Amino acid sequence: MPEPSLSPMPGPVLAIDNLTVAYRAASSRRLALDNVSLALQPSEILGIVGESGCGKSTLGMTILRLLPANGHVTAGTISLQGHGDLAQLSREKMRSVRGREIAVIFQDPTTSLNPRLSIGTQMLQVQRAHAADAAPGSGSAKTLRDNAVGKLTEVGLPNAARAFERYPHEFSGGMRQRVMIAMALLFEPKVIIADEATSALDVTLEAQVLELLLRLRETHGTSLLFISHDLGVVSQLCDRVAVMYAGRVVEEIPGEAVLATPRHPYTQALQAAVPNRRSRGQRLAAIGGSVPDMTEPAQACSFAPRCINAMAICAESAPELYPYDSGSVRCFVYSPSAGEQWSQLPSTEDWRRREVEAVPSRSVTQVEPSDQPLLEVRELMVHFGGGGHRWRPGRARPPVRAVDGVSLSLSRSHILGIVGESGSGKTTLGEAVVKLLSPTSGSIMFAGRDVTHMSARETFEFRRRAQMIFQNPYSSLSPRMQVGSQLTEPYKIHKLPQAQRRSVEELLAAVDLHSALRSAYPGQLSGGQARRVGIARALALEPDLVVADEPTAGLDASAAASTMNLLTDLRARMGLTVVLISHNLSLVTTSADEVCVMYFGQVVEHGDTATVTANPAHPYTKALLALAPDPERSSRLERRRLLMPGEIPSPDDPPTGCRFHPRCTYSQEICSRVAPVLMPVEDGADAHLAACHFAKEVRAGMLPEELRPAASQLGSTSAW
Amino acid sequence: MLLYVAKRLGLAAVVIVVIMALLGALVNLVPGDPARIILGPHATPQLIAEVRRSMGLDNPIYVQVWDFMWQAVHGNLGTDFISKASVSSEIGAPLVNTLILSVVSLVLSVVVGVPMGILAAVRRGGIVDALVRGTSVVLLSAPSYVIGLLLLLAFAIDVHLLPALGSGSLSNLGGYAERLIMPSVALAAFWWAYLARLVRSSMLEVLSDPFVRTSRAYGLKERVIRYRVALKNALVPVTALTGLMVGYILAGTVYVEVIFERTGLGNLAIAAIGNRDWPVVRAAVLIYAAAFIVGNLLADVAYRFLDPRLRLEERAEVFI
Ligand code: SF4
Ligand code: SF4
Repeated sequence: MPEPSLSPMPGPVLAIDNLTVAYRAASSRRLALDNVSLALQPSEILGIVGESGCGKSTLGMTILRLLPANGHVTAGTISLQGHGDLAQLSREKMRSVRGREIAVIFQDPTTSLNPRLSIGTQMLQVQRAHAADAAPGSGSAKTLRDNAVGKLTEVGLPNAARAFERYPHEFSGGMRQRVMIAMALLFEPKVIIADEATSALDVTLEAQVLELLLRLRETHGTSLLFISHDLGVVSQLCDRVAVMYAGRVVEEIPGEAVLATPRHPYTQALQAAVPNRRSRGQRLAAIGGSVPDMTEPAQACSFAPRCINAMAICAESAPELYPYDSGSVRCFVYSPSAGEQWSQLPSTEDWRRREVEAVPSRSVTQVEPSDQPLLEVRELMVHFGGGGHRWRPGRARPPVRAVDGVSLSLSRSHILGIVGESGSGKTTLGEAVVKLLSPTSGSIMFAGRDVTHMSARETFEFRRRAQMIFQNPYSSLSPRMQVGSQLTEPYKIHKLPQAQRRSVEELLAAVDLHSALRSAYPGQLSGGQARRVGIARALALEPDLVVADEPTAGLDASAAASTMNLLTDLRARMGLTVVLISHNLSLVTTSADEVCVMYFGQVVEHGDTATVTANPAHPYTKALLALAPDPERSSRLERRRLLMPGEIPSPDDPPTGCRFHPRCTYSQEICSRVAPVLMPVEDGADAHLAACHFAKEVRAGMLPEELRPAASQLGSTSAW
Repeated sequence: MLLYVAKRLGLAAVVIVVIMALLGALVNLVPGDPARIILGPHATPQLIAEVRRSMGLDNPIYVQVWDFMWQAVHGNLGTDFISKASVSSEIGAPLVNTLILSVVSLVLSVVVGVPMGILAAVRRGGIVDALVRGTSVVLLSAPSYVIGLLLLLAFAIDVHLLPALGSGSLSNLGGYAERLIMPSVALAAFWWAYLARLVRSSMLEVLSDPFVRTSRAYGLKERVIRYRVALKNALVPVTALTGLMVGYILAGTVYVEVIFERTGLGNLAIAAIGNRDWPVVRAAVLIYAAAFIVGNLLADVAYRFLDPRLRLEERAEVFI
């Protein structure tokens, strides 16, 4: 418990009381926030979590008084320590609060920074905007610059003085987000609002940014409002979490309890939908239904239509926030008066059980896997650009080796997961497999025929049998064509006889979509629906192989879960073979039979899912696994130890020796000299391959510190 | 960046050379014997042959082409068939008139059109916006000669506010400037409409960009956001358009010079075409083409300069 405080102003830095926000459209009104009360304590990290449409981002924008023109605060107050109710401030006063007392970090640093101004100029602009409020004498060009450069150094930009002069596009995504954070720190604000600040980053970079935020809280005592859709991230970072649903706070809970002991059925449902260590090899549970649009303050539990624990009372009146344990829950189960109606407390398992029970009812036609691999890739290389410079031979650039010697084989009706950060070459590999790119060298055999040497006729036939599901479903669907005609378009292209065609209804049903959607246009679909239409379109021709590139990117947990389940079901029902490409290892492991981890254009580990997840043999895989959220224990400590420094290096300058060595916590002297080859971890057993000099030791569970003393002999024996 | 400019310059030079070659060969490609046209229907064959020789028309085409190019590079654009004066000296004064008209029109287009667009964007949905958009629709559908004639009717014939015709002389600057007003307005009006619409939509687009939201969230003043942050980004498409503007305005000067009876390259060229006075036509076309190419070159370079992503492309490595 905190000691009695001496500060003159105790209490929360930011207090939100009974806040209600509505958006007005032409004829209707939509409640985005309904009676929300929250308090952000000094140097606290408060997480706000929920699906899209729950009002999380509206909350952030309301605090800054930057709602779009049709948004209005209809009730409630937001008070900032030392300023009182922000709504009472003059426009000019409010402007001076923004960026100085409350700063924001937005999701996508690529678009959130001005592409035409150097980051230095942008940081100076911000500081000049508040020149009138700053201490006299602090406005000289030099002090402003020094302040900015200091902050850039603090967030970990190498050579900050040089970085100051650079433009946003010259930084990688992770560095750009650090720039954004430096900008937020310029005035050492009381409160930083992070709106999906890590959602656009790869897992390893996300972990770095989270680490940075934790450190900043320690050094500056800043309070952080961390808005995210990701339960796992929130549980790792936040002291306290508010779960939002349909504009209301439904649960307040300590951060470490979010995954361990969630109370509200909605939080439990979210957890059941998120892959974590426990869910490996299991189906994820989708919630079903979607967040309702609220027009009036809730008269019932707004989650009732989707809730598996609902009882009659839930539809009759609205639950309050009932205190429970160290938090509070807006659910009748926890109400002192109505709680007895439930014989036991709801749990995450309820959702999992329902999902599992739902499966057998579907008709399963098991296709026995044949021994012939359907797909066999040998020594595949895809290089881009490069070659001599026409006029200045000295400036010849090496090619970008997007895929650099990958071999793998995949049996019929197997799911192969390919995992890697952006820049690992996983998407390029996928595109080469379905012949959207031609490889520089190597071969791809599909059902016994070489994909790279096909006649135009054969290619046409091949395209029917191997399909790609693209990352962005909207961009791969034509906006001016109804769903129904898009689905049957492949039939026309391939001039399939009527007998082999399936009806639009059948195709929609295959991906669990209502047949009414046949006449919808892509713009009217939700993210999850559009994704399903993309899958249905890919499946129309009954291909043998489907390459799915980040099939869950940009989806809410529940929609992502049901997309993954869909792919697994289709495999079971139709014997589909799937190459599943994702940056999210946990996600891949829920449904893939085999996993293939890529780094910098090469496979670093390959094996069946159970082996790889239980006993990873490559430090990179091990680190990726450690970064996955774990409901059983707070994994901050282990994460810190395995946290990878740096990012995937520039593609035209690969590191010598093992390409992973600059970031590897296990790295030894030999690693920078000798490149390890992909070989069986156990002699004789060729199902588990890894490319690391110390694969055996890593697999045995040794930690980096333990490796060091033994390294000299071990390194030399396993390398030569 | 430098390499890029060099490349573009090289390309422009190639295009000019090709145009010169075509122009050199032009006489032989069009129907009618120039010598016969000069001398009239009753000329004797000997006379015609002599004139053809003096004009170099009896040489093979490649010699004619080469001669024309060689002379043109040295500033000699040939001899006027009719007045026997050097084309270069004949073209000088009208060219200056046309250039002044073009530049004034170009500047007028930008200084009125761009602010119109900004105003409409900033006052989106208001009266100013409606007014700007309404005017734009009207102006966009009226060609420069229609506007020119209407202006003549309104200000010179009905009201006598401005001198109607001629281009005046540079020794009387006031009169010269007065005579520039109507023609340049006639040329610029279309671009007011076009630029206003372009700037409006590009400004609105930029104002809804996430980085503008960032600027607001960091407390930048609305004025700074509009005129420093957003405007700079919104004007980029306008620079890309400059090349097109130069071309259209130059083409427009021909109509306008005819309507307002101004001395200028346009009128000169039209008269020369009527007379089959090939050296003059050739020179005029060459100048138009060169102006067009230079305009485009400047636009491309400026566009590239304004976008750091392109400007810095050659900085070898991506930072960090
Ligand atoms: S109040 Fe009822 S419907 Fe709402 S979450 Fe609790 S059990 Fe489910
Ligand atoms: S070879 Fe060395 S650097 Fe590469 S992964 Fe293994 S231990 Fe790390």
